[in-house]
Amino acid sequence: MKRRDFVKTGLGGVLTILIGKAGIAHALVGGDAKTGDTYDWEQHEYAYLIDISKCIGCTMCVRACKRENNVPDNFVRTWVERYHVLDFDQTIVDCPPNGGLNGYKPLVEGNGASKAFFVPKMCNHCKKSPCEQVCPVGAAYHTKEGVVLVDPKRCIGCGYCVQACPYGCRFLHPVDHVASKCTWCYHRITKGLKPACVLACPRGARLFGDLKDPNDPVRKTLLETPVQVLRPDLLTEPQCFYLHLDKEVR
Amino acid sequence: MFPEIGHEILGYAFPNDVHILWGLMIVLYPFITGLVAGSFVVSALYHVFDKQEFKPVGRFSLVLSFCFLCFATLPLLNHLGHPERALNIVVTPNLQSAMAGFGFFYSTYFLIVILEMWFVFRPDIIRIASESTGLKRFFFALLALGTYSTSQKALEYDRKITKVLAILGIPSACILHGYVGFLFGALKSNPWWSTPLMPVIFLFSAMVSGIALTIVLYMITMPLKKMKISRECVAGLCRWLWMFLILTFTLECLEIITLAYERAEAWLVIKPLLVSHLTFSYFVLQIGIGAVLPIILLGLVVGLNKQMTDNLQNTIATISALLLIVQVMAMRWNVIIGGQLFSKSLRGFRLEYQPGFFEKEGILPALAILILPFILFAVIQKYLPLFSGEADKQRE
Amino acid sequence: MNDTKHIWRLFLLVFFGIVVFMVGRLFFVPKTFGLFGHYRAANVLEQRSFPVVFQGPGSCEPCHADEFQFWKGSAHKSIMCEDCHAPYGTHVKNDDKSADMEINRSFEWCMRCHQKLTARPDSFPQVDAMEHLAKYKTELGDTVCLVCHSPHDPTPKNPGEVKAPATAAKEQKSP
Repeated sequence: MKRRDFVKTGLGGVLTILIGKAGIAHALVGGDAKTGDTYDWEQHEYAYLIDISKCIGCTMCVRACKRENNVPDNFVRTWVERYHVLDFDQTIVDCPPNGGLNGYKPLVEGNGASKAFFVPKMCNHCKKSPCEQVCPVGAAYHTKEGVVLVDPKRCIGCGYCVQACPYGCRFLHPVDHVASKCTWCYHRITKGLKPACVLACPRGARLFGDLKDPNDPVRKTLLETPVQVLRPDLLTEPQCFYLHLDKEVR
Repeated sequence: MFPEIGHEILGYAFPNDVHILWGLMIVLYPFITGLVAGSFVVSALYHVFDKQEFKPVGRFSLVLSFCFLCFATLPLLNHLGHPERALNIVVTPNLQSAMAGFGFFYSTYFLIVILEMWFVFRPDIIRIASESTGLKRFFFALLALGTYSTSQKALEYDRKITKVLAILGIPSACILHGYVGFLFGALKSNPWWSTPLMPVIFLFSAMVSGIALTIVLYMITMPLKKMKISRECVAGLCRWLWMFLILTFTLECLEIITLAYERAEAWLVIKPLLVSHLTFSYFVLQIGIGAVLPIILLGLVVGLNKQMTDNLQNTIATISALLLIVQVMAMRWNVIIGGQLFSKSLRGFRLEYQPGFFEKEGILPALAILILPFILFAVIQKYLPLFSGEADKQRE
Repeated sequence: MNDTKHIWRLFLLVFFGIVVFMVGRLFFVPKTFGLFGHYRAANVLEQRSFPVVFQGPGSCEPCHADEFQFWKGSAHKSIMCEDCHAPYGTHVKNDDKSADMEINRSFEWCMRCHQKLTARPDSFPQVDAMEHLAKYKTELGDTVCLVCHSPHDPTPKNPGEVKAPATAAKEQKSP
């Protein structure tokens, strides 16, 4: 009697686990009958395009990101840097507190710059991200669409991923004590919306695209126009591409 | 020319890059595992390579290694954002991550050390169990696993197994400490850390710190126990210490010289780092009084040994050993804190890192963590004979 | 056998310890871990269900149809409403107004985009604030820009001819 019950419970347990796993797998490929959600993550591969020549440093993007994702003070998920190239070997780079959250003011030292521009930055969602490689517990991962995420319930807050990121886009959340960073607004893009920063940009300097969509304008640009990435020497294969990026930008 | 922007930043640092993430606790961790590996090697010199001059410190350094090993996880747990999830590292380890190796390397080495200690001290455990009563007897009988054989043959097996364990323990201890070097050395994002030499530098300086600590403790405990300091033992320890020190120093210098010579992007930020921000801890502590001076002093002990009195040899050895413990700590500081003093923008510096005394990851917790192994050591040596003279006396 | 009893006991102890550990840890592995990679697959769904804050200009149209049309034909059509007016959810709950809508009419707010900066592209309309005010003989004030420019249609008008956005929108609809 007892053994049969045990086997039953055991089998039931295994089945629950298997069905539970299958359930998750099913939901992820767009088959959640309850919500009518038809988003299939295997049909998308996202990329981000930033046009430096269009950015005016209004930092609406930084502001929008903070509101959309509840970013804590003194940390940023996206930010905008400013470069003044004075002559051939002197470049001044600055960024106001909080990634430029409150906008830019004129810089006296930058007067007389021959080249000056703004560079928006965020997590590059690298294909070969070092952050994912070094996470000891499997809390850093990338989804099938190529978005690099952090599992806040798994993260132990060791900070190795923050050290490993060459772009300085990660931080340890001061309240939750887990790693945090730009998610390309995963909760928005999986509903067909654009990330908050893309929506907020008044200049169309920030563009978000789907490489698996044959009609996507970002995809077309990436295929036909010369683009650059940050720190190409490190071969992290970033998925944030830049148009008109100057050599002074790291 | 560069404007200062809040947060004591000089130049331009990425907005998320203004805080030192890995502080005093993380400096402490490789320091402790270094002591663990170094003192184990001293013990292995006796148990594996049968170097009789190290008999006085053979057991002593094994227990020292164990004591520090017991507390090696404390600085890490103190630092983690979620220490209650620390076991995630063994439940779902990412095998591509050097840090995930911690669970495996630590537990393997822990097992080897505990087993080796058990075999080495088994006769003494049995003797204590048979001589005591009540709770003490119960505890030691449990430790002995309820077996009491001390026949020639059993002891013969014990010796063989001890040797095997010590042989296994050497690479295990080296990996336990070496993986930390790899953890830093394999990060391409940080030019100060990224070098294949890092695990080797960490390892050799670990040997230095372990041997140095053995010397210092030996010098302190022998008079306390009213036992004689063995001249040959100290001379032997100095020889090995000198050798490892020269290797460490050569590698550390080689790293800097190569960076300076290649004049790659890394040098843009490392040169100001060394010259402006790490001047005292690098040139004075790590190189000057931490390496060059002990190389000379130990060279005297090794080269002019016959002309020295016992006292002179021991004094110079102790001074050198103390300097070297400081040097190894400074080296860890320079690597770990130094690597975070500049931003990944390679254009900015944080001016200084000063851990507070009462902070969660500050000086007081660090001191507490460093003192605990010595307390454990004092407790163990009260019950088990760590010093060869003692053991022989009690067996008579 | 007596001589090796202790070795066997130790070996068994260690062996079972390792087995218990290796089996025991399996109970702590989360159910959805490893399905698609070395991560907890359930987290993907969790991340998809975070609340969406910015609803986009389309969400403003039902209540502010006039301003919406007015804005859509202006030079500011590329700035979404919620950039200057804060996200939808801050003043609407359950399809009803729950609080006053945020409006920033300050000079600093306009200057955030339009202050002349070396790093801004030359083709972008920007002014040196003090020079611009001096040129049009206007005193600096808190909402000085609105004297000549309406935020929803910033083409400059004569002072006094700029109307509040809602009024201007209605007038445009039915002159």
